[in-house]
Amino acid sequence: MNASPFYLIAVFAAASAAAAPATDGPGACAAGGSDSPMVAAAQPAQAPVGAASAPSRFIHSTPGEEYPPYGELPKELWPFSNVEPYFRYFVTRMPFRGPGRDYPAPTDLKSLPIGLVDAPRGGANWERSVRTREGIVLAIEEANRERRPGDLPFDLIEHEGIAQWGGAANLAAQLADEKVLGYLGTIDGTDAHVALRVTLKTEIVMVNTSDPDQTLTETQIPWLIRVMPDHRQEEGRLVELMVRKLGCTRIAVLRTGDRFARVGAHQFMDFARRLGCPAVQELLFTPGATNIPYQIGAIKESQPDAIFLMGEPADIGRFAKQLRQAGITARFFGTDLMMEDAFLKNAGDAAEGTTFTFYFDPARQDPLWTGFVARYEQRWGHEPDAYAGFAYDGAQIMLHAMQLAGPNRWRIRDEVYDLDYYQGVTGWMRFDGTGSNTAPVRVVRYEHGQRVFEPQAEFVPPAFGGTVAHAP
Amino acid sequence: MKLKPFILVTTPLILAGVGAATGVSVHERRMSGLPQLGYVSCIHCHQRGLDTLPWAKPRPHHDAPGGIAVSPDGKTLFIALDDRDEVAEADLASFTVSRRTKVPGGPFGLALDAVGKRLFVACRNHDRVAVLDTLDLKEQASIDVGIRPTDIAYCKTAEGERLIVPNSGSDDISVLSVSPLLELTRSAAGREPYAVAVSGDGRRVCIANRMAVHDQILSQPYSEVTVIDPASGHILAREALQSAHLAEGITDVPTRGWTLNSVVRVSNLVPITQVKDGWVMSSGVAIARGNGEVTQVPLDEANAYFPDPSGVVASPDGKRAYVASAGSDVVTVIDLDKLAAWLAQADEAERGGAMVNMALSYRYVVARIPTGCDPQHLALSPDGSRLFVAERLEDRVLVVDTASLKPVGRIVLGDGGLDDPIRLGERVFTRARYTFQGQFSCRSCHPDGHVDGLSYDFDGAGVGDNLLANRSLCGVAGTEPFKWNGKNPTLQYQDGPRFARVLMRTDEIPQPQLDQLATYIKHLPPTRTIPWSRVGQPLTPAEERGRKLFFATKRTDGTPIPRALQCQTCHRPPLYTDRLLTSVGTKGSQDTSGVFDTPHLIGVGAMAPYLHDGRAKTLEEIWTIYQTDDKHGVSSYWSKLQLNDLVEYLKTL
Amino acid sequence: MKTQPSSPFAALFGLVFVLSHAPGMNASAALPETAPLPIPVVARFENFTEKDGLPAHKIHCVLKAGDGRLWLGTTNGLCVRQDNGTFRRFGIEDGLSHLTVLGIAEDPATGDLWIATMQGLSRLSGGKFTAFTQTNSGLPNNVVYGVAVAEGTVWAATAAGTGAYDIKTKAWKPYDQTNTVMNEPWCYGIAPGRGVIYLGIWAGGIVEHDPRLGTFKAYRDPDGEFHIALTADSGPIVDVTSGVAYDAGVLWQASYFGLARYDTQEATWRTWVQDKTPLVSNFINSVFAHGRIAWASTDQGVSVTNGDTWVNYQVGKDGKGVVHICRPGQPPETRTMATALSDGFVMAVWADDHEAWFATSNGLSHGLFSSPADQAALTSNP
Repeated sequence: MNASPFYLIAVFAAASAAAAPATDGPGACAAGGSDSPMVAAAQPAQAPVGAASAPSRFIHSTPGEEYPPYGELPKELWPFSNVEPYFRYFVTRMPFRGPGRDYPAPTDLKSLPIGLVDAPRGGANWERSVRTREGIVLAIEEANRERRPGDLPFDLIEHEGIAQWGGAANLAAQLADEKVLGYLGTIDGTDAHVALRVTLKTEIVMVNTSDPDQTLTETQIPWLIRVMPDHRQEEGRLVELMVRKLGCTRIAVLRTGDRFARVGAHQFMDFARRLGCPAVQELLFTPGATNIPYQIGAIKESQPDAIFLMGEPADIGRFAKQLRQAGITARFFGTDLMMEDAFLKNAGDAAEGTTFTFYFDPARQDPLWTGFVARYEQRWGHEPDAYAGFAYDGAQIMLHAMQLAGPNRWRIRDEVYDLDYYQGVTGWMRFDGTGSNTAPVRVVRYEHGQRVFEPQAEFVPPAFGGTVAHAP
Repeated sequence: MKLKPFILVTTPLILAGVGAATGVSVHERRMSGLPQLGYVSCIHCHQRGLDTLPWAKPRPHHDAPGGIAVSPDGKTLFIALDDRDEVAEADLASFTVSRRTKVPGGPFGLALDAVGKRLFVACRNHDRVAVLDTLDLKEQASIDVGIRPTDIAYCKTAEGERLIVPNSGSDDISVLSVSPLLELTRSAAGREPYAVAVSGDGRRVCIANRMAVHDQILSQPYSEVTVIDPASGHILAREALQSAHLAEGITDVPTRGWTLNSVVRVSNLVPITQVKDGWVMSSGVAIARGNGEVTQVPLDEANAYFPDPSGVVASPDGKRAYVASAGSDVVTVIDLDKLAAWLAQADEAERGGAMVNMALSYRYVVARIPTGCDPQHLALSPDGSRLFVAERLEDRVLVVDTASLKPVGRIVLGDGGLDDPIRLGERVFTRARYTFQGQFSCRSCHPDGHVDGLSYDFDGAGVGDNLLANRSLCGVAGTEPFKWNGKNPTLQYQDGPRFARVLMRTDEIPQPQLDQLATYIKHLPPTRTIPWSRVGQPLTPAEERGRKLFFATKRTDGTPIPRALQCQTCHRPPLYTDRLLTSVGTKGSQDTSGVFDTPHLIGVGAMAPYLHDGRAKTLEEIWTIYQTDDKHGVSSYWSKLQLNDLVEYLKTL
Repeated sequence: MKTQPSSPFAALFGLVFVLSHAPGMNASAALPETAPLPIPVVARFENFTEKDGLPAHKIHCVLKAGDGRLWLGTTNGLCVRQDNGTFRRFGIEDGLSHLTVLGIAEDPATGDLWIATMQGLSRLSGGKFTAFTQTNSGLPNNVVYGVAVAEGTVWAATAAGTGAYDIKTKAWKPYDQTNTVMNEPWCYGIAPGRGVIYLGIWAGGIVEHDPRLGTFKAYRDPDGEFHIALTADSGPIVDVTSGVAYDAGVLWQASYFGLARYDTQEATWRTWVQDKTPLVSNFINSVFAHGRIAWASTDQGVSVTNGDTWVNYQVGKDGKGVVHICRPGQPPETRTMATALSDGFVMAVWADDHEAWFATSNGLSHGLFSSPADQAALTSNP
């Protein structure tokens, strides 16, 4: 069955009302208040399987809770894994110890504004940003339909990204001026980083929906979570597969020269090195380049048995084809962007056998997902993708927090940042000590032009005993 | 028959002609990047070298007096002769020049120490201060300061002797210690700091800034008076002279705690048609009484104007002030007791509206002393008995007995240069007699031929309509046509009938004077925007990167930049203009056309604000705020570093 | 003004009480061995909040200018403490480029203040604000986290690089990852050193720049990892630098991962993390250096140290001040104070030999130092 929007909001509200610290500030009343039927239907937050009450899709952390290092990666992938370091960070989640939770709510609010920084128009991430926005808008529209008379509506304040000169920082500052209570976005790693530092100063919580740069949440800033699994999860899984299962030993790396691929590929190479397979080549190309004979020649000389490709799908698809045309038979590997059609289109037959990681199987029949797909298609006229799904989930987390906390940025932060698990349309999320979703990723392979997902059990939190928690 | 040979001869010629014309047309379109051109000749692009332009050629030099300083004993007057690179010493008993000494670099501002042993000289052309021993007039020391220092003041402080130097070209103020001669601080001033005055107790120094600034295109302009603590060099205050520009004179009034500024109150946002109503420019004096309030009072009277007030001095007893009106060749004498009495009884509204009250000046103006052409700098003898007036375009200093207010003599420095058409043209340029009721001169908006930093409303229907940024006349030779719409093919046309109709609101300047005026303007060299020490030096790495960006034909990623959008196409060296009309996407809601004359860029670093209506306050804003869809060059690919590099390069032109 | 009357004697009594009642400690035995503290000790806090006229809860930065005036950067504009003790606010309507003020620096030559805001760099000179933004000047980005003035150059740490403004030439020189050794262009702090400038880079450690030679040198976390500090005292604690400070040959690095110190004369590093060292918290918003003493502003109070001795100021649950003193080789001491910081979440400190001012997330605190006589009494009178 499809989960109705009302159900989603009701469950969010019910679960979090119990999990959140009791608040009686004016903010909570303004945003729905304790007399809301949603809150009245409160259920225990961490309902174990088999409990009589409906299970919550929000599971919050407990004070002093410890988290496993490196998102539960195998220890052999850890840096300096044979040495106990002098100090280990992210064992617990950085608390926010500042004031603000008892500050009175603004009296002039006409809505509950949520900020969004889109990708720069026309840039590589623009289409992804459009779908991100659609997911967020859908979530907000659904939530607003459930608002009662007198409740302040949720309002999306969005700005198109500015590609140059640290524009995201300016936009984040502008959103703070516009009194947003939380931010959503961004996709681009640089944008996310510069916006994050603004959020720290302005104390506005940020739910990042789709920047896979693993370093984003490794900054001890308790004002950010990320709902999309990051490159650490993807590349750790990929390297294990390549080296341990497939026996690759000579791995070449072909990537763009930008920050996105630098950060991602260097981590990939670190993982490979730790498993005894340092990269035999690392070659860079300019985004949009059409021919890279020097790089292809160098890769051919290095006689790789695996090539890790990182860049825009159209680029790496084009170069996959050129690598094959050059007689290179090494298997191609990559991360989530290989899921996009542009890779397959440009790679053609060269895509065959290409193996990459992705977050979830879009064909999965989980009712939360299928319900979302149906509503999304009805609203926008086309299928959602992962960006839309994670954006919807990120928005739900933010909306839920605002519903519970009212228009108080610090209490909204508490609701967002203290999440341990959340079941969204994209599946269960597991947040680590950095605030990043470390839910296991899937392995996908191109076979005859089709994306074939390796069988893998759906991740569920331990509290649910290994069963998938479906909405009733 | 004879037709056949004719055809045989003429056909190739016709074909060749058509081919040549077609080829030229294709060439023009290709090189200019403009699909449709009106009249265009080869010399639009294929310009003469800069060395052939009038301003680059040798010209006569004159004994024009700049700054003047009277020795503490009242026996000697020192006179800066910037056009001669000399300083003259005049004996005030005989009113004759006793000695001259060479001081390279355009000596313009003078100051003496307390005992008159050292003469400090601000050299405008070489950006330095020279120290002369008054015994032998030999240069003892020199120190570099900011760009184009125009004045200098000496004072003693608890921390030692200080020299305060307004650097008009770099918009800052140098505070120097005398022993040793060191620059202690360089503080930002307003725009074009020009003159300096020390308070009686030596604890405050006020600097008049000549050029107006306005925060937004439609905001009220103001000139800043920068107040500095000479001991520490710290800025104490920045006082605004509202609606004022051309504030180039300043003096402290002993015994009263006042500071007097000569100012022109300008109404640049009202249609220029209002000239006939007499309140586009009002000349007067601003009085800062130390209580934070500044009152501007007029020098003008109904139907009698005293434009371009320049030098101002106050008598040692604080009873009188003297103001030189360079545009009307008059020194106005103000009775400060009477002025104080009026100020004491006037309410706030009266004080606020005083400047346009044409029936006010009779209350405090006690005399108008006629002078020779272009009186600018003034000085008083230590006892206040003699007033010295530098008649700049007469090459003389007028000596006035302040008791009788009658001239008692003249110190003759030169012959006035009446055989030099450039000098004659400068006289036309500085005289207000050609405008309606003599309200203003060319210099009123173009001090030293440059800009006043304002945009003016030309012929629009309402306030703020049809704003056009003032354009510098420095270095305009060879850049015709003129005017933002490019309709004036020559300076004579620009300054003749059009000037008479739009601005002067009176008869045209007579043809001989018009020709002289054009000659003078053509000989105005471009404004120097880099320090003298850097003239002739190679570009810095950043400037060199900016130069490459200016001449770039490809973006950083190698993709070509269309010819029409390359900087060098329209801003073609050596004048950095193709002298054609171009649209760069800046058409405003009040503009009737979006195409504008391509301005030349020589000295562009000093020409702010930018674009045809002055909407861009800085060079950066041209591309960060007012660029539209890469129509004004292709800038969308620039990094911030690249834009900075380009700006640094442009500032060197 | 919310002043909590107290006296150094009360603080002394508190210390003595705590020491004499601490398990396993004999105050009379411990104190005579205790040398005078080599760092100043706050005897009493005076606190100021919105009720006292501050324009906002949160104060990002504090500076006592050369003329003795105290300047505050708040989330609601710039603020100065006037001679009569009242606070005067300056906002956008006065010409300030943005309400959120993140840093203030004084040009000692001109007396001008340079103000880092979230929308440009403002200069306050002669009572007038002038805004430098990324659109009207060479400022790399409008979000300016830190500012410093050294030898005629204004250094602005922005979200897209550091901008150096030459006050004489009016030229801007941007520094980012394309023309320096910066790993990332995200600059967070600036500290003028001896002939060099230290740039605190978010994810890039610290970059030392010699403007005369045009050279750059990067100090990076030797293990290169965010999740661990592999070893102590081996380099910057992490590459995510939240602030830098320099004085008397010592460079300090603040981060959200702990504190690091680089002795530029000995070329040695020391690092401190919470729980394993006296550092009160890893989350350090900024660090201020005066002489060889650092004042680390954390989310749990302030740690003051010369690298060996520590004095930490925290706010107890009862709202009273808690002071922890750690001398080398001796057990830590804890005492209570009748007064406390206005809030434990401290953003910045300014201090000299006589006093300290604390910008906190909820008010301003003035720390009055105990006198040398108090110090002597502390060590000799049980």
